[in-house]
Amino acid sequence: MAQPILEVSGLGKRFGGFVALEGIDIAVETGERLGLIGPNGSGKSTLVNCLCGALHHDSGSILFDGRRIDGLPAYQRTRLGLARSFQLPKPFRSLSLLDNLRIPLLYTVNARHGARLSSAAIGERCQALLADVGLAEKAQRLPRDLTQVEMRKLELARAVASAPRLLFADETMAGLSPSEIEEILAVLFRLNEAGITIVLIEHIMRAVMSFSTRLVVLVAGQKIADGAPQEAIRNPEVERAYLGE
Amino acid sequence: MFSLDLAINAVVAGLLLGGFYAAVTIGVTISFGMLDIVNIAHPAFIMLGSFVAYVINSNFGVDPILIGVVMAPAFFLLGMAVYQIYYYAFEQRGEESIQGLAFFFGLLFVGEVALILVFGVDYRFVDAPYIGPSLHFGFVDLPLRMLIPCLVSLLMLVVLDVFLGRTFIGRAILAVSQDRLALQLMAANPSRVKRIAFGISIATASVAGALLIIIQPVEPSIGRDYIGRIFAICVLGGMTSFPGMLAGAMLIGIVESITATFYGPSWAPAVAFGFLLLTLAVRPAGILGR
Amino acid sequence: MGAAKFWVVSFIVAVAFLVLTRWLFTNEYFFFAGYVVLQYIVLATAWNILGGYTGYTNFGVGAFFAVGAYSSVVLHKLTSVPVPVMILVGGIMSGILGFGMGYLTLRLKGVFFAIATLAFAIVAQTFIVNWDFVGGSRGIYVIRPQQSPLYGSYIQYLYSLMLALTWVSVAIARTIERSTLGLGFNAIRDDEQAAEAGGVPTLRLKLISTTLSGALMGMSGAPLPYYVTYLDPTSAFNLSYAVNSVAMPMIGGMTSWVGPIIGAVLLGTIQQLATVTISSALNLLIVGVLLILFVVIAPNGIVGLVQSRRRARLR
Repeated sequence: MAQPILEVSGLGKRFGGFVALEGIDIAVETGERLGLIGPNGSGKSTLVNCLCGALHHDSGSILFDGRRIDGLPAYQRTRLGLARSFQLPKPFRSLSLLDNLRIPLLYTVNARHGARLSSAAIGERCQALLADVGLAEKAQRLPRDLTQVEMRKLELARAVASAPRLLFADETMAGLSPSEIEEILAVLFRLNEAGITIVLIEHIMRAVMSFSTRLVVLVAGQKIADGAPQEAIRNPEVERAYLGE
Repeated sequence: MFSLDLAINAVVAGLLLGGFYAAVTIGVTISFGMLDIVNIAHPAFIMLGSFVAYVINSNFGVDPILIGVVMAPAFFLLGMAVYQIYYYAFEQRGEESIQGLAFFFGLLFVGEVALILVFGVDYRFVDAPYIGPSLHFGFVDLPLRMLIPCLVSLLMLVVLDVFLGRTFIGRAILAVSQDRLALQLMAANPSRVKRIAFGISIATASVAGALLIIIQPVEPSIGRDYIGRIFAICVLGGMTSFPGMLAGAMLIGIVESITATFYGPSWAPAVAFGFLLLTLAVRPAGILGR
Repeated sequence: MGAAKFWVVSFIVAVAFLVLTRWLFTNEYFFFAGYVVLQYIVLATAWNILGGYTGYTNFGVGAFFAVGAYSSVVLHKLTSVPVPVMILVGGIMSGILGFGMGYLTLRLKGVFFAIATLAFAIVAQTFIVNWDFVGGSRGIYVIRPQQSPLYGSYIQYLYSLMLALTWVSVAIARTIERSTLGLGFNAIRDDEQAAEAGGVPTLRLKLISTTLSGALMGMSGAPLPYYVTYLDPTSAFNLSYAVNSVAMPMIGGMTSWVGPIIGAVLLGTIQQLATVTISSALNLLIVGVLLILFVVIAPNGIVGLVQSRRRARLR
């Protein structure tokens, strides 16, 4: 079997006395669509932050493509191919949408081995990325001129701009209308078809169930289920976590 | 030359000084620790308090501490006015900290220069019966001009602690400091509560300023030495905790006092700032944590 | 206009300015005042690289400026070096200081960073005050050479040097502004975490920013001992340098290389006039009040006002 693109073993993280994550073991297969769910406060965001380098984990190891990335700062993990979008969109507010995408292209794609893109090529790619998420007309505008769903799309586009192999989509659909959710899902499906492994962290069950090939459930910092979506949901512990005793 | 007498007196003086430093810092604990408003101009308000005490004391002979307390409501109103400007300029627009910082930096500077223009650069002092005499316990000296401000400062701390914990407004302030959204859901207007809190923080400067001019003669540029001290103590104390702040204040007071006694007063300003740098580098959450 | 072209064009402008002013003004006072205004352009531009471009507010300007000045004092006492060399050395020393400060404060954000820079300045001042070799708190006298190595008076020589330094710093600022590095700085300013996630090596860029900013500030302070002939810590570390370095870019506009120049020329000229006509304390008051007014009313400075008026007209 091919090596998992991401292997998390025994990951733990505490904040003072509070245990946010404990003994997390997850293997993400290349090309799959993994759904990560759990009630509020279960540690999903903490997990993403630890994996992407925004937080230092206290115990356990993280292997990306078979290589330990434990001590690496976030920007190096991005350069290796691990990207994320933020739960609350964090655009570069004083930069145009084009420039927002230029950053990952200049600092990630061009920082990797191999041919460097010329500034003309970068400009073209930025336009293409914006067109992919339907933001081509607003290319020169500032993020404050965007609607909620457009901000989410920009957020995704920026993560994709770094040409990742694995993308963490962190609650991209929170607060969106059903048709907007469909739009985002369509983008994610397309990205996956293009070869990007996607980990979808979401609360919206319908979206997660229709998107994921596998489901991981986190409750109170621990993984309590890991498997095919339909089975994972029927796990009695998962029911208890969501519906209460 | 190390002598136990000297060392113990230095520590005692440091404790008294630390008690006073708490009065100086409490305002920033409220404005910065609780409200997230970077009022680095707080020393300017303290200097204003000192000079107000000086003017009234030298013209009418009123006790400086009394002046500080009586003038506190005026400072409270001043604080509310300053907050109002800050709110319209920054919080409403959501402009980021750099402009807010510059605003208060400008205030700090304008405050100092305005005082220089009015009072000149001479040292000013007040007259009070307890400036001069000391209590003696064996070889330990307790100068009244340091003891009384320390006690008043502690009293002010207790009063504020009770106020924040027991009164409705006080608890609203605590709520704002912890969760702005929750407060809005409770239908209390956060900016109104913040305005009152900021007013209180400036009111403490009135008292702190009066205490300062009792402890030592003042001139307008002294405020600058206090920026580092205030934020050092605030950070050391963990930003929001009163006991933490008091502990931090005492610590800085003692270290400064010992440095001044054994290494000379010209090194003392570096102490608080050095402490601050160290704390920020090693443990940004303070000694007692946040 | 490409980067290289800007360097050339601005060089020509600078030379033209030099020739013009030397020809027009015979009163030495112009060159005394001009030196100060040019010095402020450098300080404001330098500050803006870290403040406006990268988003980190430095209140410890005095430390970098004074280190530049005092390194010249040390050189002057130890040996005899031409002033341009002193400028370079001052830049190196302040650059190292900037690197050190950046490294120590690497985890601090917002106001903590600003306070730390202030702390840095006080600590630096305390060291100089206790260093007798450079005069300690009593200060030191530096004798201005009789002969100017170039032409005209010695003050005109210093003025020309400062003009050259102005040219260099403005060209550097503009080059950065339009470059990948500048975009990276802006990303850090707008959202450091997102920048890091986007592949920007934020620590490295911040260190570049603090080092470069510090170095330029040090260079602007290096000729000071010969300008004032008496240097003491109180004046070298004067908070007015910090206030001016903050006020000038804020009033002029922090997003472009033009802003610091506008702010420095405006404020610098006002201050020079006020010092002569009113009092020097009052002119500091003016700076402070203007800073507050602009920050409240026009947070993007004069450049910002022009830009928004232009945008409004386009709609």
